[in-house]
Amino acid sequence: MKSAALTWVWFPALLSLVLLSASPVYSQPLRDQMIAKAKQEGQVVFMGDLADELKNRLKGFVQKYPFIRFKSLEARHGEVVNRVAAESRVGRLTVDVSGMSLEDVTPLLRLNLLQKYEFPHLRDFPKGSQASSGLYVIGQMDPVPQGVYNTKLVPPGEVPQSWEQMVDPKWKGKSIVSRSRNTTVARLARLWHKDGNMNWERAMDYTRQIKRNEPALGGPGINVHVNRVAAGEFAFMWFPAIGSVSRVGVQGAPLGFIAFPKMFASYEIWMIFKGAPHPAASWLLVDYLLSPEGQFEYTDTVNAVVPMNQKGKAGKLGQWVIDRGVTLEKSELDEPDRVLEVFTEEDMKKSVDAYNSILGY
Amino acid sequence: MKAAASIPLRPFAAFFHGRVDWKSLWFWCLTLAVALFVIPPLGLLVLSSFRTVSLGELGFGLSKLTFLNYAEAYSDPKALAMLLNSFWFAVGSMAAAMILGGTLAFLSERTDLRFRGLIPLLVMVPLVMPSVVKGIAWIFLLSPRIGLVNQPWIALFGRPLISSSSIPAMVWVEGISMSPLAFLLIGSVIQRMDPSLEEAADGSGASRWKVLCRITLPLLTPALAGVGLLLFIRGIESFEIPMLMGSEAGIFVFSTNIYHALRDTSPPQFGLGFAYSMTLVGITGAGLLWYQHVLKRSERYTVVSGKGYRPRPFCLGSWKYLAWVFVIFYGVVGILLPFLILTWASLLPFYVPPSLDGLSYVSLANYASLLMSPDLWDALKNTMVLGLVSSGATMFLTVLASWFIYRTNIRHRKLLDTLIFLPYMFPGVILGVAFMIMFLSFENPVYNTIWIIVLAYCVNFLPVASRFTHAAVIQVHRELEEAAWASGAAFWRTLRHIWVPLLLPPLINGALFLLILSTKIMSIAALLQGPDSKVLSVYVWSLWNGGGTGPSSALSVLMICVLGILTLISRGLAQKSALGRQL
Repeated sequence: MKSAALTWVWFPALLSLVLLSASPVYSQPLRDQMIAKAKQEGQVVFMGDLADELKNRLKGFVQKYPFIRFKSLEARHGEVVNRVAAESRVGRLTVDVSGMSLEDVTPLLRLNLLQKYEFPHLRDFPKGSQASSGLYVIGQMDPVPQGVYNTKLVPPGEVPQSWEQMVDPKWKGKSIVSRSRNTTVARLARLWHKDGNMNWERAMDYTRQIKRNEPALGGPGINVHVNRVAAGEFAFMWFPAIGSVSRVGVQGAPLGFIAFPKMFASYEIWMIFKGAPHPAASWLLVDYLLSPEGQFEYTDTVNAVVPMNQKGKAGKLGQWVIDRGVTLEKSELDEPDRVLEVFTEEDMKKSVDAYNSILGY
Repeated sequence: MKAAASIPLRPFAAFFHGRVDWKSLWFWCLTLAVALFVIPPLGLLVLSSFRTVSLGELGFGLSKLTFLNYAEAYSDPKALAMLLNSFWFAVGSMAAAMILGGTLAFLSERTDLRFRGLIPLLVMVPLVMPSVVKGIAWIFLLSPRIGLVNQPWIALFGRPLISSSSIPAMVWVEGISMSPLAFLLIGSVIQRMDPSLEEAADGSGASRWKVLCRITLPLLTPALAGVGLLLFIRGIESFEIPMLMGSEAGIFVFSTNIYHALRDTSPPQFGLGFAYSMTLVGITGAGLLWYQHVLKRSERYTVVSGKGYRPRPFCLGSWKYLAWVFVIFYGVVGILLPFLILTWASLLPFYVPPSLDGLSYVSLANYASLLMSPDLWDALKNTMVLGLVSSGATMFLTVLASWFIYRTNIRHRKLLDTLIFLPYMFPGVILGVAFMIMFLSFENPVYNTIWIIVLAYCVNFLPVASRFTHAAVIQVHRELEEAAWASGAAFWRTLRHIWVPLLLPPLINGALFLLILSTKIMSIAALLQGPDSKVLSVYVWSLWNGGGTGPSSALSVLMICVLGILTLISRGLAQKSALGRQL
């Protein structure tokens, strides 16, 4: 009798404790702490690609925290890394937060420039979706479809459905590649790995097949080439950024995706720098970007990536991409910790050299 | 009492009188100030080209010295082809710019062509267009598949007239881009020319063609040499047009590799980028030596003297029809077409070739969102500060420098000329990186503000500004200032009452050019910008990055209109000033 009574006492108590720790109520004191500090800080500085878009379109964040002035510095990720490294060396950091692809974070990790924080919303993310270090958070995934095509130039029945169809001689001279996609060879090598090892031979061979089809060698950047495909100058572009495509696609551009399994993908991460001048405001920004409403707003107005918060859903840009066949199920991506082991700086350099020399850059 | 109050000063002044060469003192102050900002970037460039620098290690240290960067850069089998492409592209675009800009300058300043006052306005348009937008506009015009220029040819002959991915197209676009600079530089010299030599030749029975070839052109030789050098170097450094148009045809130049190494890879490959940049240093250095040689006997080219002069219009006669064809061709093909394409693109959410179908997408949404964006007004405010201060300060410094170099016999004055020209040797991105490192190394109120960008732009503008002031100063004869000194005027008074009025038209032209240039240079501002110091050039880029052709084209169209108005006003001021002096 006594043991039964104890069971009915301690078990519900234990269950309540577990449920309570998982509830948002538990994280609220942390958020309140950050809000109090952020009111004193008064601003947050975000530097990176699409920084201005983020600042102008993340209205939910601005409304939720009106005491935080959101400032942006538009820059390529290389410039972010360089600036943060230089400023951190002398303890005069300007930038608080940035976002980039996971593969680009290695130099920042090497120089120990990132600060670890806890974020309650990560409980709603899939298990194993975050790096063990906690020095950055993975907010979304960015699948890279094989191509984007002009729907007026490529009839539905002729859209390539395999790697071999993409290098069919009928596309000779009708496609364009971007110089910015110079890590493609490494990504293909990983996609076609042999027993876990990079399959450089197959990746380089395929790149030579692409070259034999005489694609136009576009300069750096993705936007400009997507616009040229939309304008009808080329039938398709290789390995576009879904964000660039969706931003013109939702406005009516005649674009569709060449998206068959398996496509490679990357993780899009957010990070707060060590020594950031406004750490609490930075925390609130990243916290918002990880929240369901933040993930929706981000993919609704800023960038078409796949939100990872299981309580979140894709916004307009994200849904546009999903409706055209770019889904996570068709992607293959390593666990976050594995990504940096696989894509070392040497591998990236090898990929850049191979891409440039094979294609003719 | 008055005499008593002045007594303490007189011994002070008397003490230094005859002991201190004030001219030399000012000269050395100016030289040291310029050196302070010019030598570190060049030093960083040379030093880092011999180092394998990783992130966080870029600086003035001597660790990790190596020749590997040069080995990687110049062992590339494509290196020689790149060098030749760079050379021919630069030569071609220089020639195109000088022919276009020089001819227009002559027609505008020295002929009786009707409505020639509109030519300066016309010429400013290509200058104002941001490079990335200009490049894409020309691609949409000359694309072998959808280009507006090629569409009629494809319909008639089944093939395009010209491809955007060809050397002639690249040379044409770059030549158009640089023609405003050629126009301004050559124009300011032509404005100052004394026509008495031409009149004497004319009076002796020489034909107009002979006068042009035997009198006018030789008199312009130093100016043309300087302009040619400047344009050639700009052509070598230009990367937007080769990057957008040339790579598709396999035409690669050094500048695109520099850009790629320093800005487009992560992490940036500083050592490799700097090793490539050393090629530019070598070429620029050789060009500078040649230019100095040409200018050795500058007095031979004096054409503005103490005698009263008035430029006499060159009577074109029946040549005016050819002149009109030339102007209309430049205006329509070189300016109007890309401007129209830009305007068309600004009305669309994404680019659609001009067509009836495309009309369904037309709206003013891009303009509405732009004008309502606080970012635009912040960027505009910052850019005005940047443009006005940097152009004004640079022109002032270079006027002083030009005077010291060409009007004094101070020893080592050529050192100042060399220092002023040095920034032309290295790409703007290196200047930006160097300034960032310099201003991070000590506490100062400048870093992260608009003022660090102003300083960097001043340094970047020195070579260009000095071409305006050198050419102008060379042409003013010594007798004018000698007359002022003989009358008892001191240096600053002579500067204010003799030099500045005479030099005002080229100064205004130069300042205007720099002001417009300040709205376009992105590489420096992108590196040095702070959260509150965003400028238009970076804003255009961010619009392009986030929204594509529509929003960035809308901003470009607005910039062209505003700067066009500024050009009209400044030209009016310059002409009024010239007219006032004649009366």
